[in-house]
Amino acid sequence: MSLDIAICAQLGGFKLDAQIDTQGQVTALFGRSGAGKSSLARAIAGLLRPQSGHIRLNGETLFDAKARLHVPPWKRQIGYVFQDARLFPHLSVLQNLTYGAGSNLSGLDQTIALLGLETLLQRSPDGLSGGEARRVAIGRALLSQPRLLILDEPLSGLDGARRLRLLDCLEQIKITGGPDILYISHDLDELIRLADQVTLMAGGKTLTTQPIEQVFEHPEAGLAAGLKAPISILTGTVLDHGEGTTRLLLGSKPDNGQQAVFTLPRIDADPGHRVRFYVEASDIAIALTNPTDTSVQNRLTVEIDTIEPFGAGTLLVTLSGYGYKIRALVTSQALRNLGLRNGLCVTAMIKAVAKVGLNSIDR
Amino acid sequence: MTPAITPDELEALRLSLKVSCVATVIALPLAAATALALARGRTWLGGWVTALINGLVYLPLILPPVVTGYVLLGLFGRMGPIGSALAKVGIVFAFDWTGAALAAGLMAFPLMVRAIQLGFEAIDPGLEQAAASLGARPLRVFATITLPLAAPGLIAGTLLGFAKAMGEFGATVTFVASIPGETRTLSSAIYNAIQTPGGDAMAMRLAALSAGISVLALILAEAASRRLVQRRQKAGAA
Repeated sequence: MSLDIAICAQLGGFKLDAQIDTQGQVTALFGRSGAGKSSLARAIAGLLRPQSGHIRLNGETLFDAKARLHVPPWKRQIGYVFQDARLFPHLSVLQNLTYGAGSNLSGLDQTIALLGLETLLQRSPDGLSGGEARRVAIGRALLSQPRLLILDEPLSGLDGARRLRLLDCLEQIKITGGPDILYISHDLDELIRLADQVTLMAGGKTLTTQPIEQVFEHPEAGLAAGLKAPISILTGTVLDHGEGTTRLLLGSKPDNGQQAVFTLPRIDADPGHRVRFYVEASDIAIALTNPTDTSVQNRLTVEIDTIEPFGAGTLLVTLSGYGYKIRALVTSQALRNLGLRNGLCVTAMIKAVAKVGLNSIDR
Repeated sequence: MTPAITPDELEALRLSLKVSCVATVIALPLAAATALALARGRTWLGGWVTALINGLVYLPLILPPVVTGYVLLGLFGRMGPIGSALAKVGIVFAFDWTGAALAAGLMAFPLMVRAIQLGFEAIDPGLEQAAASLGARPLRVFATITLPLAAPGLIAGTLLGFAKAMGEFGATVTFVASIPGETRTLSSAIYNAIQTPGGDAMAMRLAALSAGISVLALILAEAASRRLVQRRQKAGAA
């Protein structure tokens, strides 16, 4: 998908000002509620007409204020899965599913199986749980064969098991070459698992659009979009599985020596697979030597890149290893006591059981 | 002691049913269109136009029925500007059952519009947006989403209108008088019976008949609108 957007829309007292130029199978809009994510998605789907600017999807102009062009929603082939599902209450689940499919029902069985809807087909939407309704709404949108599927916080309000199940479904859609996806979320775990590109949004404005590995490198935008603390996104290759753990190879192999190994709680991925995870800056400790008498399994030899002030009495230290960068928060007192400075070689310690994000299996 | 229903009374009942059915059937699409314009038209018709339509629609409800009948007589009578024009193409309202239907339809109109408008307003516009995002053109959205979801309101409006048309008296009697077999509906027949010495028994029978039909229509309307309220509550809770 290529998406090229530059629009302004005045919505009552709220101003949407969005600039996006992105390519990727899954682009995520990340921001707090009220940041304008849904408004932007509605504009892309044609449900909201901006005052100025343009929207282009895969090179086709869907909206251009100067040319007075506004392709109506029913001609855009953009499936929209709303937060509140919006199933048609007077139709059965099956009738809902086939509403936008026209005469082409070739994908019906596959979609029903993918989303696990077999037992729901004859039921009325009234009796469905939140998770079931979401799954039907996703199936309905998929069957309308959209060029772009907009998922507006599809996992919000779902509990643990249901959430994971739906996340699996979405990943399956991505892996099996489904439509391109615009994914709206304020949940980092979902982003890590699904997104290729991320647009950060705050206060009706888009802040930046970058590949997910880079978008949080400068923490200001991430924090403005609702991140609780600075994070580092790391990718690694599955090395092997241990007792309840999985070992990954991080970054690239140094000229002399071994590639950094990172231990995660066990994940379901075969050796050789690429996975992605995140580490919060406050979960990383810095030591001047590499202590061996510690329960912390992840000790990475890194070099201090930059030290920046971050809030009252804390500093954000960027550490680089071979082919990866991580960020750690330290107090100014710790900085003085350890004598941390740019270029210094230190050990970054990350508990294997510390908060690491969900694990994405890249193809 | 009470004799069975006389042919005259049966004729009044038959005429009333005919007048009410015709009035309701013709008023329904007009009322539905007006209700749709009032419920949805604010953006493309503008506030003033919808306010004007709103005022006109409710006029028969506010005016004394005698005044409505008098206005009809003035406009649709043989000498009236509309009546004389229509008479040339063979359509006559004055002192004909068609006039009774016109009066009944006009009086029922505001009630029908109100009930149907509530039905349209109860529909979540988000459902129509969802249909559009699935590729459905506006006409298909209207036929497959809007109309079925507005059905309870349409049913309630129809039955309410029918009950009102059955009971209409003031405007009808002013416009088309009370000619036996022509324009003497149940209500006019009751009035006539009361005015006639010894007509009490007849008035009583007709009154019971009239009340029975109207109450039946109201019960059906109530059942339909209850379904509507339930759906609204469900939509509100979601």
